[in-house]
Amino acid sequence: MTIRGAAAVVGVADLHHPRGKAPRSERGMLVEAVVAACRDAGISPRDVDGFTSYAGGDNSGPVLAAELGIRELRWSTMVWGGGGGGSAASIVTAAAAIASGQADCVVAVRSMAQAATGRLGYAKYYFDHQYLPHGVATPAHVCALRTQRLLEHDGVPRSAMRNLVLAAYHHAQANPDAAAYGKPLTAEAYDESAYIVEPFHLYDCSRENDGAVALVLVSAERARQLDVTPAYVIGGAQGSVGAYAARNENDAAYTTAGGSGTDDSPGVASRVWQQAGIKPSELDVVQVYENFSGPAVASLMDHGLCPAGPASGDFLTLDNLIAPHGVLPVNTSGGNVADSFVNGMGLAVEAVRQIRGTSSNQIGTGVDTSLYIGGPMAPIHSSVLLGSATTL
Amino acid sequence: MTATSAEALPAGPSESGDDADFWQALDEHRLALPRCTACGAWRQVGTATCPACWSFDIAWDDVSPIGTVYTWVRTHRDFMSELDVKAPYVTVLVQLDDVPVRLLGLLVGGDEIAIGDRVSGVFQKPGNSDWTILRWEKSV
Repeated sequence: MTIRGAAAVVGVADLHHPRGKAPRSERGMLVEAVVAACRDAGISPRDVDGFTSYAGGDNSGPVLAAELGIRELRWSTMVWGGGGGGSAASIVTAAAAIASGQADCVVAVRSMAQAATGRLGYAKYYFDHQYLPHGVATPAHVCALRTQRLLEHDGVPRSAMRNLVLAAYHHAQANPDAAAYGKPLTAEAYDESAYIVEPFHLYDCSRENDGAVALVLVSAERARQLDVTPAYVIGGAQGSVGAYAARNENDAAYTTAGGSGTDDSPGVASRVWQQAGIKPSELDVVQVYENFSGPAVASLMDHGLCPAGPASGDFLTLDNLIAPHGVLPVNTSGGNVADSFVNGMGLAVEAVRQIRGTSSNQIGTGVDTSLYIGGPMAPIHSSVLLGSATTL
Repeated sequence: MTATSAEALPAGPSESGDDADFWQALDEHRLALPRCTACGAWRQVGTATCPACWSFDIAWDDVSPIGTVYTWVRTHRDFMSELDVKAPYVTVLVQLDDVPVRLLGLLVGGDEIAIGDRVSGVFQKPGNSDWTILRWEKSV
């Protein structure tokens, strides 16, 4: 049994606001996003029968069922652990529910408001006493530890990180919704920006937004009856190998993003390609979650999209990373660093736009494969590969 | 100041108590790490069972606090008001010489560091902490 081609994303909504400027509560924004995504799909919110999400929160399936007045809730699933690491998994879990007949119309959702989460304080609730006494108190710290070794020991050049950021800012200039629209970034400005947690400069770090994102999934059969271009889920996986970041910095694959495998455990990335029956070299476009730039570079390596070590610098050039003609356009809306950050889920919507042909940096007509890689260097990792009808 | 004060350094045993011996040993200026007495595997501080054989039997063995820097970061902003050290400060992840375990800790006595540098442990009890912390300095 496989989820390949069983379900499709048919409706999307990406509503974001400056941090602290949420026009309503997290729950209110969530409902607004679900309704907007249903309208995009041409489906009544009353027909939704499932919800998935990640990174915790109180806005569960039953709560949303009451808000939306749906007829019957059949699927209510939170992906465990790892913050944004589970973001792609929430989409895959929705597809799995549909593929197995558990539900017919499942919405993957995430909402964040600074007033409710206090995310910009340090993560006292997350890091324990093996971390905090040593000044390791934020996601930036744990990602910086792995990234420093990626640079200094593995020989990945700084340019790999810098070019990923510059590509995002380049794309944001064509996206009026992006925070960095009208604010281009130069290599010099990147280099001169302050360090936050070394090796991360300011521009290596994602933004934080208030907002909500929703993706509506239905069966492939139903998708074809709707007046939209379906983005079929043709591969997806979640998990970790050898417990990865749950091992207090003692895991073996330390400089990976958490998606690589071993001889007897394929890992998230290989499982996605294997399900889809597609090679990394055949991919058209990728949206890669950059909580920070270095971990995103590691994600591309885990997924076989760029070489490891010093050779990564030869591939991760600005020309190769930008739409429409780059070898591998990345983060074509501007991504978490230059567009917006609602726990990374905006990138999943951009992955759908590329299949639909509606991106502000559309890489061409007839995009067949569009990958969304979830949060890197977290205790759980996930990614989802979307395909056009041609790939079925 | 006591550990219950809002500005106390967040340190000391967790509610489960699975890491109590680790903190007790630090107060005696020893580094003690958990080992499975059934199969001999070194365990992670604070876990309930041995992931190699699932035994609950545990011993805390004294380990020499000497090792090599596996990676490091330099923090340029004061994220934690409770930390007794102000930014910029360096945190190192140390691969211990004698056991297959890596431990985090603040670098003291300097702020220049590189992967592969040799370091040894220093036991410090900050003024706002009820607990002794293992920190690291470069070996001469």
